[in-house]
Amino acid sequence: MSFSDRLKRVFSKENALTLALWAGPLLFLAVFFYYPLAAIFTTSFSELNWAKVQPTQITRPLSFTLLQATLSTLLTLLAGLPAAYVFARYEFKGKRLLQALITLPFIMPTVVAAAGFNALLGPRGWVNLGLMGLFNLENPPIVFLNTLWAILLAHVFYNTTIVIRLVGSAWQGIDVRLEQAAATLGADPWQTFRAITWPLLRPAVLAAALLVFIFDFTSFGVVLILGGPQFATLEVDIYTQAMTMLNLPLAGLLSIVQMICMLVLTLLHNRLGGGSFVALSSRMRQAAARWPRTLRQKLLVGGVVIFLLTLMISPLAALAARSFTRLEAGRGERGAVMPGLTLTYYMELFQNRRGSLFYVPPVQALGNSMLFAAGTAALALPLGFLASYALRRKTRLNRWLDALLMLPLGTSAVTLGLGFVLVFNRPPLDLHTFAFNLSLAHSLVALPFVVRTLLPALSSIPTSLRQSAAVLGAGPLRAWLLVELPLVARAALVAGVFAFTLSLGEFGATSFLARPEQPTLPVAIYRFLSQPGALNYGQALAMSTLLMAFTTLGVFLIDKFGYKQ
Amino acid sequence: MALLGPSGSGKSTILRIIAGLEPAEAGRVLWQGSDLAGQPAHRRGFGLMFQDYALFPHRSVEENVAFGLQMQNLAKAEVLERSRAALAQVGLTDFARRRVTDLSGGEQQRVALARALAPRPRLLMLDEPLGALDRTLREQLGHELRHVLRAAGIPAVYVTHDQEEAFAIADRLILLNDGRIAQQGAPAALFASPASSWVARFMGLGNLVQGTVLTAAPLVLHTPMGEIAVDRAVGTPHPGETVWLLVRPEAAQLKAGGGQNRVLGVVDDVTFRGATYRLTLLCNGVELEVGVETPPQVGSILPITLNPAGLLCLPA
Repeated sequence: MSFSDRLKRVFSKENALTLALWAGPLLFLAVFFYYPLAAIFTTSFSELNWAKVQPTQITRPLSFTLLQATLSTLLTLLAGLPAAYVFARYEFKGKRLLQALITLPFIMPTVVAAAGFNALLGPRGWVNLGLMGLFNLENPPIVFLNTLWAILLAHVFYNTTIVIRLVGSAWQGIDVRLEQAAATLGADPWQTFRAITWPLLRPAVLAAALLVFIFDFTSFGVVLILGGPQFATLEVDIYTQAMTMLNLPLAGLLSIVQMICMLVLTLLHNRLGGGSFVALSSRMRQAAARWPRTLRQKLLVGGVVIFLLTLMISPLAALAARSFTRLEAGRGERGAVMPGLTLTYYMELFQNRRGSLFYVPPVQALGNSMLFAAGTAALALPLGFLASYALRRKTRLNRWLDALLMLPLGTSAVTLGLGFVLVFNRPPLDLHTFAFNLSLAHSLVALPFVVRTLLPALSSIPTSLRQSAAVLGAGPLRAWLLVELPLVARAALVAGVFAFTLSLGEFGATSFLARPEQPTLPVAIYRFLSQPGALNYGQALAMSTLLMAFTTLGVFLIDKFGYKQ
Repeated sequence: MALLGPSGSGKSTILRIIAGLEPAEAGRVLWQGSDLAGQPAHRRGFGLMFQDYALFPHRSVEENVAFGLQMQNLAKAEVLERSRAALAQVGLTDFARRRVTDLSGGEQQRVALARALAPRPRLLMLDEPLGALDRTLREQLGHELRHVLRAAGIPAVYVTHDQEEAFAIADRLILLNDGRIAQQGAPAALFASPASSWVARFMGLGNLVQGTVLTAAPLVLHTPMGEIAVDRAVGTPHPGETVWLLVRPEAAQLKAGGGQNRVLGVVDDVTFRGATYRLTLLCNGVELEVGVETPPQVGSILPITLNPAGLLCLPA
């Protein structure tokens, strides 16, 4: 092929059209993702005073991050593997409901999880108040907040679902007859597990473990709220250096370390993806889950169900229940408290108690959140449409463009927030003015999900449909409006709700970017949780309960209208 | 011994109960007089070859075959020697190092057989071992299987829904219908005298025509084809009783002229079957399939005579 031919191919009409479709999303990514990212690098390399940087400033948060992620991952596997086995091999009453329930923690905003554990095990939580009441204690007997256990438990709470889902479906895919064949060949149950089940399961367990490790590694809100300042992971340290110490270059350096770790972990994860075994025969039936028969089986199933409910549902239930319950004296009240149901915490959300001009009543935070969430959906959806249309065209360019689009997914929200702080500090886009909108940051996080929702729906529309509309006399615009749009409307709705819900609960980037006088719901929850007083505590729980309800509703809608393949 | 029956009749379940993979809801499994209840599958010393072979996808051919031997804690050298021997038995010596996922259906079947045979089980059970293969391969491998089973000298229970396969391989047949034994015995005996119309129909022994008994001795039936004299009956038919008449394809003779059991039929269809032709005749609303050597014209009317020796009266 001659050079001019090659040139012609690169600048072909196909590529030109693809690029035209890409222009919008690419411009958006360039300004709001790649430019801030580049700023992190330039700032930390040009402004950092290397002489002043102690190696321990990097190694201490890094080693603690690795330590807590390793411990969390091990505990998560310990919690998830028996449950994965029970879900794969046994049938029991309420199995589908439990399956739906255990996805709740995974999708909850970090502040909700933090508030949930606080409502259960915190100094004002059910367990401590109960024990204090029972034994007439002066102080809460269980110290949970600001311990390593709080971080670990919250991570197990979040990620056990991943292990159950990934390992459970792999386990289900292992034909029970392989194990039975081993038994007829003389292998006892332990030998069967070691020689047959484990080798077949190992790729899924490793993949799940690595994914959990990645989530634990980048966890921010949980560590910040439940762990307290003495447990600084990389993410929390980036936040502290940037927002408290105002040492942006060091924050940038930590961010770079974090990104390198993520890159290694992601590559490792992609590597592992291909290591699973395929089923030998297409006729292999799905392994039938059985009802537990022996006492031992019943105990195992029952134990797992109770364990999952305690670990994953009780914090959320405790949160909702506590937000409606008065258990201790409020501010200015004396003497015995009448414990009972109350709506006080919810009503307080509308009050401006402090009479201060700068104080924002919590209900306004809810309004802000809704506004930003709507803005995120309105921004991410059109961009997602353009990118999806571009990706649908099968050109070579697309592989690279797709990677560019997906990169924000592998970048932590805190890094994103830091980049924004570095870049958008002057007009026209200034974090401190009204011109800046949190929707911009949230759209970046949402965009990959939106594209991954829209693209399958768009790709499943056969070309012949558009062609037959054209043959019947519809122009391109009318064909799109009357044929394609109705077919992808469902997917678009799902993508929109997704973006909305994601924005509503986003905490990592928001904690950097939200203006003090314009907090979002998660930011307000964080503030109220860290302030003393029963009323503040109650309001934090009330807001968390509202956020939990909205998130659950959003996920329910996504599930209900989700694109069935 | 072969367990024969339509799908869903409980053949595989019986194998799984014998193997100890599933508890029996009722009844007992006896081995040389002792009850096996409570003994787990891995201590029974029975071999089971699964329908889709259930080969371990993460182990090579040789490692699959060696598995049962390793479970007996044999010395490495012996494991190697005996698994090689088992592979040689099924003609797969050169395949030892291959991945089982790369094998064809027929090769997988042989690996499964070698794996089941290698630990020398007290009893070998085979669950539709040829079911997943195409027709030509099935005949070839069925032949080999018979050979290998005879040579191994291990008692075998063979499950199939294909009666030809069962006839070819078994010394004894148990016919299952809906979880119950419909009939059992030597294949030739089952062929000669099926116990019921269900057995005759399932085994494809011939045409079944409904009729009533006119006289018991000599046995004459009233059927839509006319009055038919029958030589043999299963059970003792009484006059007036509704019965089934089994007309084997070879009972019909193309013969002009009068006499007993003469039936007129319209040729509805002719199928070429190699040595013979199969005719579908319509005899007063009854469809008969018969074999002939020279094909008549479709639509022509044909007189045939039903040989009483090829007929059997079966209870309804």
